[in-house]
Amino acid sequence: MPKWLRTLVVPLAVLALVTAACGDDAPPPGGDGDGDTPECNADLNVGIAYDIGGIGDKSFNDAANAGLQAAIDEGLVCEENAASLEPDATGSNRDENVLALADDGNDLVIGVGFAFSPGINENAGDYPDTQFAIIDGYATCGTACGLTNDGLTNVTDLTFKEHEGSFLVGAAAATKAAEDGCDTVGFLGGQTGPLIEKFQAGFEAGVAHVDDGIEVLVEYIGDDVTAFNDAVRGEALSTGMYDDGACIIYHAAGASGAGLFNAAVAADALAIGVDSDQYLLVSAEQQPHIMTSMLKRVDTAVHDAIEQTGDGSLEAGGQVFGMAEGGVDYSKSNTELMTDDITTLLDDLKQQIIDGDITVPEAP
Amino acid sequence: MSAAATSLPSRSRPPWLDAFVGQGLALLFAFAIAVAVGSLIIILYGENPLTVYGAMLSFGFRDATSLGNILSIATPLIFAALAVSVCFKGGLFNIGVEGQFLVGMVTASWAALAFDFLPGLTHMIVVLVFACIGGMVYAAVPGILKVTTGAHEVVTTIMMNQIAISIVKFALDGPLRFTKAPPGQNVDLRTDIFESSALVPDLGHLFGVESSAHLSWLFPIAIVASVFVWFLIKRMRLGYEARAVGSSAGSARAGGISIGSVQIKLFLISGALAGLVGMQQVLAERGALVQNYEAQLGFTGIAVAFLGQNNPIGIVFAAILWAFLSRGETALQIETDVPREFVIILQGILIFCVVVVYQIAKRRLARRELQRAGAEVGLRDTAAPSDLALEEG
Repeated sequence: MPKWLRTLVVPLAVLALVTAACGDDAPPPGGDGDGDTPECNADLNVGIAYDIGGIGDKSFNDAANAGLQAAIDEGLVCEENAASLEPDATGSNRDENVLALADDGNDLVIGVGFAFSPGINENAGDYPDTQFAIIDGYATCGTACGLTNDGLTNVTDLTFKEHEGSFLVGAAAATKAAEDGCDTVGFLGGQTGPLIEKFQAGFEAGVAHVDDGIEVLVEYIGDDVTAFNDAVRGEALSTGMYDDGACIIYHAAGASGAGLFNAAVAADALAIGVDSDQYLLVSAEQQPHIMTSMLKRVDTAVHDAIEQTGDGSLEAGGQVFGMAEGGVDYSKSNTELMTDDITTLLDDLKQQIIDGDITVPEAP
Repeated sequence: MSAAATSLPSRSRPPWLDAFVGQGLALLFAFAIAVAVGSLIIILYGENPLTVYGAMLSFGFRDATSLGNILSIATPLIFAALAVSVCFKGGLFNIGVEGQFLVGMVTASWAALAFDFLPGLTHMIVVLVFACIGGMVYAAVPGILKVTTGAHEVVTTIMMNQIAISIVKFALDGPLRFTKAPPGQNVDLRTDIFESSALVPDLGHLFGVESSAHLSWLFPIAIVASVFVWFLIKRMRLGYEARAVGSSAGSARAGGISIGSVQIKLFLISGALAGLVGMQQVLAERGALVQNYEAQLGFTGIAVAFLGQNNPIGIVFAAILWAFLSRGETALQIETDVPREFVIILQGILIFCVVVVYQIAKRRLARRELQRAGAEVGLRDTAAPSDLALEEG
């Protein structure tokens, strides 16, 4: 329902909250502390335009932010030269944010999400001195992909082989399920469409590779983009799958995945995270329920893009991050559940994927 | 508001001018309250309100392109708010503008792809007509259900909004899906790009607005639409009947008005306007229907209609104000430490203030009208305030 209606109630709550939170005022960026900060590349300005959910989604956008922070820590870019913009709740101002960052004179503007592709394809030509990079993007594909412009010389699409990473966590889920004598696992997708179907396809293939007797339940949160920011529905669908016998559910649903973790605690069952190592991001109560996460190294892609812009080596066109490039992986943080048996198996599968002995399907 | 309004020499002015000035002052007062409450929040957040509002103003008005951007954000909101207000005049609450505009996008996209052989402007006009038809057909369903079965339009349209989201998905996944991408290439679910003849031409370049702002001829079309709605409500028979039904259905029926027919006509007009909501993004911005379309415009339209007090001309200004605030979200993130959600809070407060202050002002005006009528006729209690309400509503 409409935001404005909800917000009629919010101001009062905000007044109360803000009064309480007033004390911890963050120091202004670029303040007096410049003298003692470690050396950083002051010539580089970087702007990141996040997608719906923004910083704090504990998933896709946070992974991008982690890449930026890593670059700041390494001095590839100075903190005060890095700008972050979040879109509104429907993402309608994505392009405006990108243009605002380009107008601001940033050398590199990163769009976090494929939805930035049409806008950057259209406008990149007007900013020849700015490099654009798009996570999951298809802007350089041009007219062949139904976009306006071909031959962009300042746009880089950073894409991932999510199906390969999903294959590994699928194998992990099937192994664990078989150990526990359970014959059903689940997949919770965000918005329907080809991108998230890659996760589903890889997961299903991974499960079948270990034990093709295990059934995979599949639920998608919705057909529109708000599906990535709907934890309530995420929890409802997850609870349904747990009730139907699933013992482990893997999600690719952005911030909606928080609902899965709640459901996992309530059902005393297991969940698999996505994009970031979500075991490290959830509460202590939820941690025992996060078996592993499919790591999509958006942070690596963002970090590398910043580094390459700094030394002038960022090439226009497509960069694909597969298993072999370290672009997708799985996490071992939950040492209790990720036993040596499982990690040995997964590392073996990983090597087979890298060697090309296993080809993971992209579509379910 | 009250002090200023009562200080006016009411005797010397015609009542409509009195009402107009009173309403204008009421809106200004509401705006001032909203800004003041917003300032309070900013101060509590530890920032300076002048800096924050200054950042929004200087960013919004920094150049022609930014102004063009504001107008192009406002364009779909004008259509959406007009669609809401047309139904509202007849006492109908069309929550379904959201769904109607989604269906309008689908029918328009189909027409853009199917009639690509049409030359020049005819192609665009056909596409716009199909957008209206899509919205009308989808609005006709709750209209007919309301008239024939009494099913409440709020319930039916909310449910149909959900169906509309799936209709878009179906169209993008099936009949309209772009399938010519090279194998192995990540591509969003989307239609093929439309022929340029289907697109609404850019208007901004005449005023030095860069094409990235997407200020198109849809904005003047939206203005024309609001004048049309004003004329319809104030000067046409259907408008009179609608206001009669909206004010008192029983009296309208006794007066010989066919309520059902009026309601269905209103739904159809509302749906046609709603169908045009999506054209800004489909025909002026993307040149295609994409999976990550801009949703929620129908709901925002309800807010804008409230803010414009359901007055077609007021809606234009309300939409521009709303668009200015929305653009401020980007300004806040670049220039200040105030979170972008502040804009949403400000928009909420603004509606709240307008609705409350406007109601108070309206009652005061009605009371004074009553007193004046009483003084003139020598009676105090017989004038009917509902006439005035009908006049303004």
